[in-house]
Amino acid sequence: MWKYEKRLQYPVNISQPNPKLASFIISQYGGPDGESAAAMRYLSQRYAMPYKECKGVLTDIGTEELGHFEIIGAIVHQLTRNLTPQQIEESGFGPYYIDHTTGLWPQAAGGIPFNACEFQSKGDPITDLNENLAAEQKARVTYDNILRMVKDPEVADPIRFLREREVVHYQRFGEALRIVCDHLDSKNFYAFNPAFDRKEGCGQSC
Amino acid sequence: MMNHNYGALMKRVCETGFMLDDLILYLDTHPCDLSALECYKRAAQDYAGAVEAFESQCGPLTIDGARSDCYWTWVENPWPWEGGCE
Repeated sequence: MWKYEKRLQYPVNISQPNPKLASFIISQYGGPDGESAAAMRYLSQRYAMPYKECKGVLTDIGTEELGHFEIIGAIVHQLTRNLTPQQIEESGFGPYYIDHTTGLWPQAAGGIPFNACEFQSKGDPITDLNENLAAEQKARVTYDNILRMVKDPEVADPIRFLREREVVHYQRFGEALRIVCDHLDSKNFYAFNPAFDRKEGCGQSC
Repeated sequence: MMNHNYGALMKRVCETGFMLDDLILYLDTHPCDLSALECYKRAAQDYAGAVEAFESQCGPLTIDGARSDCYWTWVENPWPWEGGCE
């Protein structure tokens, strides 16, 4: 069960609209390495995770990603406030505007709609955690790419915060992978899938 | 590990919690309804009591309830999707 806190994890106060930048940053709302995919990835992987520390980290990073989804939403919203039709036309924001006005809709920078193929939930803890390590790095690169395009410090500041969180999450998932491996056969980590295969003499996966 | 009162204490949290969930939605669209506000106040107290009773015997329900000085009890089992198997 979740409860909502009426605050952003990191403040967003952007005074100058910039629809071109919004059309780049929206990729972290619904793009291939975006925050919505991150939240769904981790929150979906929890059910197949046998180890308590890793259930905790998937739950809590997944929850934080929902907060990041909201930060990106706030950035895109503030970058598209009070636009004139002329600004929309000149900035290249027109195709998005035609379908969504300035409402938020999860899509990639190239216009591709969000879909669940952006992430994996494989039912195998080693595989899922490697997916997560890669995902955090891909998101970090996307933020690096965004930061090269951003001149406005009011936009760069929260984007830098989100980029740093990718690095922290990468670290925590690395530790989670170590915890998983410590439970497995050190001569062959792949001898069995602890989320699926039952060990001899044990009623459930250990 | 699992407290034998777990089921009853959790049921109380769920019942009082759902009462709140439903009242919140009603109040969102009826922010001036004084009798609903009064109901909310009572329901919030019931929920807080149920959470307190649960956490004192069964461990944290939210991270705020992870109060142990010597271990991060938040990661202790059970997790909510593990119902039906101890």
